Amino acid sequence: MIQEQEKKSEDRELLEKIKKGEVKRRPKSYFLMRSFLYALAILAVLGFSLFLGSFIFFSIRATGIFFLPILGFPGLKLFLLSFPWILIVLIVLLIILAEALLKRLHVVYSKPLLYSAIMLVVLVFFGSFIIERTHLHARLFERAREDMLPVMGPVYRGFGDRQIRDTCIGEVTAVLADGLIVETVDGREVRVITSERTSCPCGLEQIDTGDMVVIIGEEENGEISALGVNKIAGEDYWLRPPKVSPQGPGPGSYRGPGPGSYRGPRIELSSRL
Amino acid sequence: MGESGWDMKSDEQIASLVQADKIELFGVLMERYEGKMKRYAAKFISNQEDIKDVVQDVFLKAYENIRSFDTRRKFSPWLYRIAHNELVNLLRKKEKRKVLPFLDLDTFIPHNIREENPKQEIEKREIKETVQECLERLEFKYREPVFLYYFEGLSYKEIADVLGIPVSTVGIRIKRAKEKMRFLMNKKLRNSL
Repeated sequence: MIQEQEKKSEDRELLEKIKKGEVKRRPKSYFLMRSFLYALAILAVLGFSLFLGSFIFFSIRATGIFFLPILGFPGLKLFLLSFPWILIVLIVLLIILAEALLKRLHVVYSKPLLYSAIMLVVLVFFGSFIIERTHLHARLFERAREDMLPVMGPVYRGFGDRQIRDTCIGEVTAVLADGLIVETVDGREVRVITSERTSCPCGLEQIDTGDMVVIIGEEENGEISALGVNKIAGEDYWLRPPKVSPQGPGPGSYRGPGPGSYRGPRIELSSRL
Repeated sequence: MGESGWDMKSDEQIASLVQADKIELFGVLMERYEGKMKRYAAKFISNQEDIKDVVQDVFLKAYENIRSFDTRRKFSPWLYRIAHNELVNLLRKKEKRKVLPFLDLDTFIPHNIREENPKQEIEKREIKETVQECLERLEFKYREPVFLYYFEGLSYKEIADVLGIPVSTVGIRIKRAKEKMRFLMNKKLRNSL
C-alpha cells in the first residue's frame, strides 16, 4: 500500500512538472536541425574522403608510382616502398569515422556492418577515381607551384613534386639500336640503355618516337641502365592538365618544375632495388 | 474522454496526441510502461534508488524528445531504446568500464539466423522459466536481448531497433545465450547431484 502510494507520488511529480511547464518538449525544429547537422557531418566526412582518395590517385600518378607495378618485381617493390601510406592510413580512419556516423541510421545498423563498410570502400574508391579524372588536382597542383594555393599549397608540392629515385617519365625523342633518347617531364634529356635484362611489357620494338614512357633504373651522367621500360598513354599521365583556355596550359605544355626547382622530399631507393 | 477511453487507444496514437499538445496524456504512457521499465532496469542494476532514477530519467527523456518519435513506427522499441541508452550510461559511470564493446564482430559479419516460429512458443515459455535462474550470470550483451525477447515479447526486429544492431546479431546473441544458459544449468545439476 505504501509502495503503491510512493509510486503514485513519483508519477504525479513528473506529471506535475510537465503540466506546470517545468519540463518542456523539444521543438520539432530542434530535431530538424540535429538531423541537418548529422547529414552535414556525414557529407563532410564523405566529401573529405573522396577528396583525399582522389588526391592519393593524383600523387601516385604525378610521381610515376602508378606505372611501376607493370614493370615486374623491381617495379612492384619500388611501388610498395614509395606508396603514400600515410594518406592511406588517413583515408582508412576517415572511412571508420564515416561508418561510425552512418551506424546510427536504421538502414545501416539493421544489416551486418560488413555490407556498409564494403559499400563505403567501393564508393570512396570509384568516386575518388572519377574525381581524379576531372584533373581537379592537376589544376590545384599547378596553382600550388605558382604559389597561388594557400593552405594546401605545401601539401600539393610535397606529394606532387615528390621524386622517386630510379623512376623517370618522359617522351621518346629518338629510338636507338641499344636504347632510347627520352626527354623527361622536368625538361632533361636522358639516354636509356636497354638490354635483355630490361623488362618491357609492351615490347621494346613497339616503342616509337613521341611515346610517353616510364623507366626504372639508376641514372648516371645522363644515362639510365633500364631495369624496366613501358609505354604509357599520353592522357594517362595527366600531370599535364588539359587545355582550359587559349592562354592556359594545354596538353604537352607542361614541362615540370625544371632542374633545381624541386622542393619536395626525395626518396632514396636505388640501394634497395 | 475518461481514463478508460484512453485504454482503447494505442501507444502510438497517444504519443501522437502528446506531440500535439495533449501533454497530460503522457501520464497514460507512463502508467503503461512504468512496470516494464522498472523490470528492465532491475535486470541490470540492483540498487532500488538507481532503478527509480533510471526510470524517471527514461520518462523525462521520452517526454523531452517525444516530437522526434515517428508515430508510424512502434512506440515500445523507441522507449526501450531510450532505456537502453540510459542503462548503458549508468553502468559505464558506475562500473567505470565499457559495458558494450566499440566494435563487436557479431555486428560486423552476417549470420544465417531465423526468428523462432510460433510453434516454438512452448519452448519459449519453458526457456523463460529457466532463464529466470541464469539471466543474471550472463554478460550484458547477451542478457539484454534475452530479456527483451523472452520477458517483454519484443520481436528480433524490434530488439534490433532497441539495441541498434543487425537482426541477425540479435538471433546469434540469443542462440549463444541459450547455449551458455544450458551450460550453466547442466553445471548446476551436476553440482546438486
